[in-house]
Amino acid sequence: MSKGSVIPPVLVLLFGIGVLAASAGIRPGMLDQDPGPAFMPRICGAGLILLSLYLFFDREPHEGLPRGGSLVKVIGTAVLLLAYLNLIEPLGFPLSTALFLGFEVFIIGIRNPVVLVAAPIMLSGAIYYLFRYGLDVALPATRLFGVLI
Amino acid sequence: MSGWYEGLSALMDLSVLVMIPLGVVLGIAVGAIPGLSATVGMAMFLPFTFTLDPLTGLVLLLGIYNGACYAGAIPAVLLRTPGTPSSAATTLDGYPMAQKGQAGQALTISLVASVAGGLIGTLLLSLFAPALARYALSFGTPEYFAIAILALTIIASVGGGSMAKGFVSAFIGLTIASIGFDPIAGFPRLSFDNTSLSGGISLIPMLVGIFGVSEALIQLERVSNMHERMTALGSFRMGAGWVKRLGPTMMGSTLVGFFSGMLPGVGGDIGGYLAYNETKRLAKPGDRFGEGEPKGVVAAEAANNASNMGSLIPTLALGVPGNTQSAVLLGALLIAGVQPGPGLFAAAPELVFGSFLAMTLAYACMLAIGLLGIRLWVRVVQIPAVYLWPLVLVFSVVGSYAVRNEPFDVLVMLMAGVLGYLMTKANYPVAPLLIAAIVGPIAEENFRRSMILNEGSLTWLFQPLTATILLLAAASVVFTFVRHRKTQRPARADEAS
Amino acid sequence: MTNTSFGIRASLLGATMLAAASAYPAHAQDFPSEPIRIVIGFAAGGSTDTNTRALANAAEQVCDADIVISNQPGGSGVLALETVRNSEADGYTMATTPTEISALKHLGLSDVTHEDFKAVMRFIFDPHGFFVRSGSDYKSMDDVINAAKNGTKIRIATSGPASPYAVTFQDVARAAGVSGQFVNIPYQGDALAIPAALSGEVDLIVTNASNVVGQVKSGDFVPLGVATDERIDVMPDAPTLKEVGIEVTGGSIYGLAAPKDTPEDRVAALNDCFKKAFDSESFQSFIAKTGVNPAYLGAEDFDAYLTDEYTRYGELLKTLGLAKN
Repeated sequence: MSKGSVIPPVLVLLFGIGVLAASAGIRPGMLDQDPGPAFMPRICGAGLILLSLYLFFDREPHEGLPRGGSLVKVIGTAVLLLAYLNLIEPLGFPLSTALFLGFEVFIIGIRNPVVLVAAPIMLSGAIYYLFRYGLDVALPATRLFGVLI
Repeated sequence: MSGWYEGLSALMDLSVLVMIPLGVVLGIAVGAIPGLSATVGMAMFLPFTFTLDPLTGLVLLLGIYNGACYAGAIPAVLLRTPGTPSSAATTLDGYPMAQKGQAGQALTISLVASVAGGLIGTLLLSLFAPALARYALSFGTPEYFAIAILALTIIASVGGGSMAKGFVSAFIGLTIASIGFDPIAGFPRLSFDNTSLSGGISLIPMLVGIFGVSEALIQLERVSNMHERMTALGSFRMGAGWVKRLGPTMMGSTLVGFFSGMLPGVGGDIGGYLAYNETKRLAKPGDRFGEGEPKGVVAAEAANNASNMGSLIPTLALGVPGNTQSAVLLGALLIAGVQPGPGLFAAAPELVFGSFLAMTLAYACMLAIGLLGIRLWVRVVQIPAVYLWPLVLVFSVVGSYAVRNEPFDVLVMLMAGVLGYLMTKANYPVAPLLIAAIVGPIAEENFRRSMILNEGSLTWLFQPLTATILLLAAASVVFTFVRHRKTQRPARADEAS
Repeated sequence: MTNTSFGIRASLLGATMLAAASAYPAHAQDFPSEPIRIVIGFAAGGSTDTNTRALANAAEQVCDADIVISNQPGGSGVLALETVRNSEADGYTMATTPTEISALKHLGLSDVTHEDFKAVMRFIFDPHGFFVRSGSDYKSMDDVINAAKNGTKIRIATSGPASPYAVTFQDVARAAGVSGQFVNIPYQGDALAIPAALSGEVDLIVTNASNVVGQVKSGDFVPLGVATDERIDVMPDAPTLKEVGIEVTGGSIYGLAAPKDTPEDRVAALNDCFKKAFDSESFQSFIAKTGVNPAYLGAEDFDAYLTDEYTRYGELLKTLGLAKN
């Protein structure tokens, strides 16, 4: 039976050290007998370091990251989401959503033009209307789109 | 009894009665969409109620409040994305049920549990509110700390495989919750002089990311064509003998939820987890929690709806809101010219008892709308996966953004999603992270305040009520550990041979 | 309704009807012709949110304005203030002014101050008050101060050592010369502090008067002193601190401010519109019912007020050892 990867416990260890280091810079509390603002982060940092050592020696097998096309899909989706959240204000919600949906479906591997282009535009419009007029939530719309909607 | 009569006659007005289904439907809409919460919905309609008759406005707001609490379970079951924070515990068994092809049954169970929890909660509220409010006052800072610790012990039991991994997950959650201003001194910590970070990590984007987005990433790995759909929906019935099977859980969880809701600031987000933990502790052999156990869904949903009612106790009887939603209700009462507090029940019986009766009708309405609607909502999972999961991502983005129009929150959601994905792949459970992030700050605040109040001495830990709750928490951990050992040993023996 | 759904539709409609509209003569440059956005630095459902929505609701009715409310809670209002500071100074975006605006820079939490804004108006001043539970040994501020002078520690519930409540009580302690004896017990919000004061976990609570109108009326809380110049309508029997010999005023403010470079005439137009809303029957009845204390200040007065408060907070936070600069 193979053991699990060492990467997760090492990451936990590094994170724990990072938390402990960052909590050194926290101002002490100013009330008498208050354990202070750094109290909780220090417990967390120390706890993570101790647990990482335990987990380093007690490694159970685990699934691990996918390979090939599946990994590309996951990374591609994360990158698209990052682009989407940065474009939502400059481009407005309807346009950025249509773009996101189109590219996302493309990454998944669909090449049918109706699914790639028409459906995203319709869906993003429908969601915009649902929020704006159905639920009273204002989403960003640029002037260009504001005229249309 | 005259209060009930006055309430009934005030309620018998068409404009009031119309508001009951309207409020429930609005509540279901905001509750089912992750990111929109009952608070947002109620705050939006509060100015609208200024123009209404007091009871009419109150009934509308209460409908939204209760409708949203139920509806949070719908995406929690179908998409592993809780619609409201209080439904987070529902994902633990609700989503596995849906994956096993029992989505229909899981939804029906969550609806019935919500209605039962809410109705019993309403009854308790209407009978005992003033007496219970005084009882709630006997819970001071040390008792709050003990309750938070009791809620944290659930971490030991939702870890699945390895307890150590569950604790890692919890510490990550505690660390994330520590970012921003600390709860006692108000100093920024772990924020690296960044304004967005010093404002703290919002719960809702984190919740949406760690459950919904990570699940979407996992599902998208394998989707490659138009025809893939989720599994079958299964029956929409509760299953034979459900009253006997699920009834005790429903009753017990309702009480746990109701009492936790009574404590201002603790409320519904914890109630679901507390009840889930207690239910699990009383599990019978054959109950498979975390793998689609109907009792888990019942516990979470009965508790969070009952805690909704519990939180109205301090609101009505003390004039202190139990959570943000009841703060809006408090505002509505004030604007209606009614002063919540000990005198409220005598001063405005038509309003108080009218609302209680209206809530009873609202739950009946919710049951009807729910039973009709379930067959519609469940269609969501029949959307081809190639659209379903990208759409889940879009709704997650919108929900996270709409909380405060802040792209940073969407970034939090994305990072929480990636973190949840990586943790799942490395076999680390994500539920402890969330529980710790919700409960940790309560534990920290009350621990530190207890120390200040007692001038550094630890004697407060041994006050009767505090010590009892802490012993209960310790027993819970020991019990889980022993049970864990028992189930692990045969498994390891199998592996060795 | 003070919300967004009718915003754009209504403004399109408004544009076509502008010629016929009499509310705004041509020389006001047709302002406002678009929806006005108010960014609230606190969550939906809180007191700032409720008070501001009530005013906005009235403004929509009295002066043909479409108002969009957006909540941007975070860091005691810092997030919203920074958003508005960086937005276009055309009068279409305003922030609510949190009480903490006077403290943020001193505490080193943000560099944003009132100087980054043009004050539009203050509409509510909710004074801080000192309250004890019924049956407390302390019957007056004198009792409290004498006990403190005799070495008794007085435990006071606030919402944090650097919160506006704490600044007010430290101001009182400074005036009475008992700084060391007042122990600050911080609670995350009034919803936790009020039960603590009711149950006797703390001796005294400092909070906005409007938060405890009900408890004072029912006799559960006894007001020892309210930090205003004159008694407030909702608690006519509560003495002011001045009456008991302590020259301290302090409270939570609810006001509106636009980015610094907003043209004067637009600020004047906004002030005009929201003053009308303030005077409207619907807002006045809202105030009467919720127990908040109406306290209108025009643009200039409000600006002067904010400047004074900024200095006072600076001094007090420095004596508390909390000020960074």
